[in-house]
Amino acid sequence: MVAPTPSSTTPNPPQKRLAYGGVSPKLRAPALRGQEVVSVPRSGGGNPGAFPSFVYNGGPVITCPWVYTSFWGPDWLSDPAHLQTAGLLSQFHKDLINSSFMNVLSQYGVGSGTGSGIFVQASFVSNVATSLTDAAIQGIIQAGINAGVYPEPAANSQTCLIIYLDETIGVNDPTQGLVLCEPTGDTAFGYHNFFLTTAGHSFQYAIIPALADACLTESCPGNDAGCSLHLYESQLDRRTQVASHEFAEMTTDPQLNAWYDPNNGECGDICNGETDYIVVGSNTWAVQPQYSKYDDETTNGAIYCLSQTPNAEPRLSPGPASRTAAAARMRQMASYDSLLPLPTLHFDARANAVTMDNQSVQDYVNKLFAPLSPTHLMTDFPGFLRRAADTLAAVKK
Amino acid sequence: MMVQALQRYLHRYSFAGFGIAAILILLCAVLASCGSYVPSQGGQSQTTPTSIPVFTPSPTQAQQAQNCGKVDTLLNGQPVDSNQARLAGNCFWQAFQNCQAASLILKEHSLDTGADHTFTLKGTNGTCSIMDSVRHYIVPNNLNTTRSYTCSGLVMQADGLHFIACGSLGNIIMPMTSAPAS
Repeated sequence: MVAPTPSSTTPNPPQKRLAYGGVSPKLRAPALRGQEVVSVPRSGGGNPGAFPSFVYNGGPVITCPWVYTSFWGPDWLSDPAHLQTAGLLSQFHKDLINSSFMNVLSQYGVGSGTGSGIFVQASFVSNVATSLTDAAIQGIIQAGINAGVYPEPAANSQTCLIIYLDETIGVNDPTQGLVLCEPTGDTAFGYHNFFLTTAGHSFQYAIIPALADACLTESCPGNDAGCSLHLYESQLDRRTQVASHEFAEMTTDPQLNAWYDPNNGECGDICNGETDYIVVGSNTWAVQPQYSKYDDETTNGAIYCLSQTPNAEPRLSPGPASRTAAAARMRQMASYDSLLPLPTLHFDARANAVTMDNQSVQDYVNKLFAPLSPTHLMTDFPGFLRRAADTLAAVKK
Repeated sequence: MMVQALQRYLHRYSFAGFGIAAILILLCAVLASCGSYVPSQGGQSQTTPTSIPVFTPSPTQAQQAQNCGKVDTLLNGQPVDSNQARLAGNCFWQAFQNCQAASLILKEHSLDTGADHTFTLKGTNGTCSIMDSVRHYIVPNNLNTTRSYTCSGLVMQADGLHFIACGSLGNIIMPMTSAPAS
């Protein structure tokens, strides 16, 4: 009866250029680090694909993700099965960065394909409330930054904190549209967000709830056919599937003003509910395919959900400008392989106390000095570290 | 029987011929344009056709819109409260059949996104129209856009109300029942 066209719209946020400071390693080149915000004239041409409204909206993307995992709740440490799962989930994020999953994200300016990014560290957080609001989560992260558990991001934040909640913790913040793995009224299976730290830097994080059978049964009672997750999937698969969804979105749209479609959401939302598997070495992981605008346009809408591609997808235009320096920095990341991941940390959110995991420190030192051991090089390695720490503290003052 | 009673009533007031003709025309118009609810085998039901009814004159221009309520859905798309969904759906369907002004809110949730639809039924200048004003958001509500679309029809089916061809959103189903356990 009436032409089905939108009669009113909310305009996209205005494109803007943010100037970041710093020193470029390249002569007469601007400093380029981390999140890049570049206004690029929009151009037409090409096939529209199935999602022509999925466009770059001018905000920053994460060009080289620095991934931290953090496990909140008592079960992660008290139950050996949970502890093992925590190790698997950290391994998943290491593998995800080194998988061809990153080849799909390269078109949006997130890295340049497989190996774009680093896995830095895992942490365990105890004494967290069993029902959290998003504001409370940000408060715990800020406390963790103050205590040295999480890094204070640089001005061009690359930090991606992936928070896994155990079965004792849910998110109950209905005013924000967030009810996750609560006894009733669930509205989401995960989310990503950001906030400005007290130092004024953008901190990106994602929340992955436990996604246990009870959570699914509550969220999708009677029939999970219409759900994006299923009871026949293992809990680990559900977690990695949601984590891949959130990771892709938090890198391509960290501040909710970069890549998205106002009607259909971010790159993960368009392919929500699909499951695929990636193989990295001897590990196989369940992931969710992501929206690929490049494939959508080149196939004119025939193919647009991909979990991996053989080669890095070419960067889209308009989009964040291709940066030689950023690509060079990512290549340098390989040199950190022997240093990362850092030893695991423990954070008591109530006491604001940080400790290091004994075994994790021992393993780290062994890996760092292999095939030697520290005692081959110095008689008092702990003493050396203490003196080094004192010196660094004095220099910092 | 009802027609005979009406005939007797109208005959008493000496304008039976005109009155019956007017009633029959009106009934035909309603049935032809709105479609009829026809349960079929296996519990399935459907209505045809799906086009918006056209009335002359417009019966509802001066009426106040009926608030049919809100339907909240679970993460599998099923209604949180099936009874409430049935009441709200039937309310809007009845209003549609009579081209009476009405509104209905549908709240949808996905993994980390949501959409709040406000369906508005209006009769204007002899024509009924369904508008969907939809707010899409990404939790926690940081991305928030509102657009309006015109739907080209409405169908009552076993699983709920189907809003047809609502712009680029396509068909939107407002669930009225919980699917059986898988």
